[in-house]
Amino acid sequence: MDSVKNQSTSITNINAKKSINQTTANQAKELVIKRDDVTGVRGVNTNKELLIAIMVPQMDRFQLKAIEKSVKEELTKEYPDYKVQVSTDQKMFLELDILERKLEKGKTGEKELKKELGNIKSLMKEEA
Amino acid sequence: MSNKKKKKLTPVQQEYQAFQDQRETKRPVFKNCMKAFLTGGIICLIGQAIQTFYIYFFDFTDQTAGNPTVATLIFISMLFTGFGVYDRIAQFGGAGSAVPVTGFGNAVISAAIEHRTEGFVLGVGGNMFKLAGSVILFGVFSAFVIATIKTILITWGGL
Amino acid sequence: MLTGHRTWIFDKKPVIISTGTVVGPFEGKGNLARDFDLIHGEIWLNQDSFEKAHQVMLEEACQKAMEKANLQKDQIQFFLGGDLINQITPTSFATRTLGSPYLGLFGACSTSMEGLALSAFLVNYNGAKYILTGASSHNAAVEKQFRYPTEYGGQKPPTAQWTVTGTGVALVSPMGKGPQVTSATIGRIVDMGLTDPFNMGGAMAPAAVDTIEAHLKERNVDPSYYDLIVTGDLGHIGREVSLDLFKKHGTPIKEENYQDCGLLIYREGQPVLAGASGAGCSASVVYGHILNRMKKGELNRVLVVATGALLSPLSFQQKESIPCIAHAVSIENGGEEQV
Repeated sequence: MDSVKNQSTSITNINAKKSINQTTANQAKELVIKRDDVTGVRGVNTNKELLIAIMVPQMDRFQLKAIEKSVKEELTKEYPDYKVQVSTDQKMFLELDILERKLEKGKTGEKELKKELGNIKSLMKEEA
Repeated sequence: MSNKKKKKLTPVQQEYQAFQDQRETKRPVFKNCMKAFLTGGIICLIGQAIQTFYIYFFDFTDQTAGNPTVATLIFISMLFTGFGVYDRIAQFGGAGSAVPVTGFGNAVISAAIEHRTEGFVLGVGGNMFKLAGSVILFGVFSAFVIATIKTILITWGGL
Repeated sequence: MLTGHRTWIFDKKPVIISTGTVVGPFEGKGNLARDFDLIHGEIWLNQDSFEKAHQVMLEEACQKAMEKANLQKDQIQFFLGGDLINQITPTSFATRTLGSPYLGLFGACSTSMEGLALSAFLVNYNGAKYILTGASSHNAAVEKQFRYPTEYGGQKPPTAQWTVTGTGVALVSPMGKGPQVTSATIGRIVDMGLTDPFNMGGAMAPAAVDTIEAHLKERNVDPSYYDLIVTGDLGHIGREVSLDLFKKHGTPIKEENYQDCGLLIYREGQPVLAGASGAGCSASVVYGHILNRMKKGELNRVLVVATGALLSPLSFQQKESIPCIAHAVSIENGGEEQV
């Protein structure tokens, strides 16, 4: 149980060796994880966009939408140059996690990063 | 309403009903509630597992995973109904097996199976929604009413 | 001869010369399996529908009864019978196969004794030489019509009863060897305003009590005259309620001599809630088990009281209560063979 918790609460500071610098995303993640109502963050950035997925503690799930909005506002204020997107969706979290690992391995180039991000965004747009 | 009915009964009838009532085996309500809670909970747990499975192994998000989950659950309910197992689960679980979508599936599927002997159009087609028809009708109707109320409130109240 | 208001005494004592009983697999696993002529392995009987299976069961029972008496189809004067299905079609279709003149009856689960009473009357007054009478029911066909599709997951309360898949027919004749029909009391409708179709025992008990008490009074006998008084399908609830009603009215019925076909047919472990019911319940148990016991000499005088609940799925939906009826017929071991 503990190891699972640690896995989501620990965040990865990505050193994207081949691709776009991930400093913005790293910083954003540091900022967001400090919040009480967030237990896990994954995130990636391009030159223009910042995509963040958050995990929320069980009891706070009633305020899911509110927390999502609040995190988005906080990040938009902090990084006005970027287009910020925040999601509480489990799938987004999963996909960003996989993407982060890919970047860390250093095999993903800029074009690929943009393509993956595009895929994730269109997935999120799908309605039931 | 029940008083009105009781008044129509003669004193002899009322007396007998009270007499019979004492000797009738009462439904074990508390036990039934516990069993229903357990059964319903297990079905929902299985549903959640199926949903998480779809999110992890396929390209479904929280929003879109509901569709294949419901479809899978109804498929399972169909197998159970066809094999004659669902009614046994239901005798144990009562509302716990009737309320989830699997119960709805069972209602439609059992009716379809039953009326096979009367042909596909009038038999299966005509009788399939014998039990589920009210669910569909009143479900859609109440959704309509709520939506109308919500629209009115938003337009006038600026909610 | 009419005694009292509604009791017939059969002075010529018509004889039940043979019987035929056919049941389904569930009943075959019950307590009385050895007393049935034929037990089927599954409820479809290799037919296309439950209703057809229902019809086939009745045909087979008639066949058995005629075989045992060494009679041919064309020697039967009349067939009196019924079942629970709409317009009693299974019985009508079976009689089509039988080919004899037909009087269809509807008394719900009391049909068996309704038929036996009328048959005995006809035979007693030289109206017929051989009459076949009986009743039948099929669990799946009845559930489909009265309640829900058979695989539907509706939870039944502990007062509900299980409809028997079974048939019982008897061959009645003015002469021959066998138990004799000595009297009958025709029931009248008793409605105590009960509306729960899942508790028919409770609804039928007053009707059974009414007929039994009328019979004892009009025939002028004590309950102890009979070795056994057996009801059709009151089940646990109905039996308890009727025993208490007897106590209340001061009728000295002894519990050991008061049984119910619905409680006899199935074993303890079988999931039948309050007991068995159905037109075939009283028919198969009486014409199979009870008459066997009489032939062995274990019982000499039996009063069979078949009980019926005369409701329909529509009447229940229209918030009507359940009217019930009970017909009583006394069967006794005679002396010598009648000529």
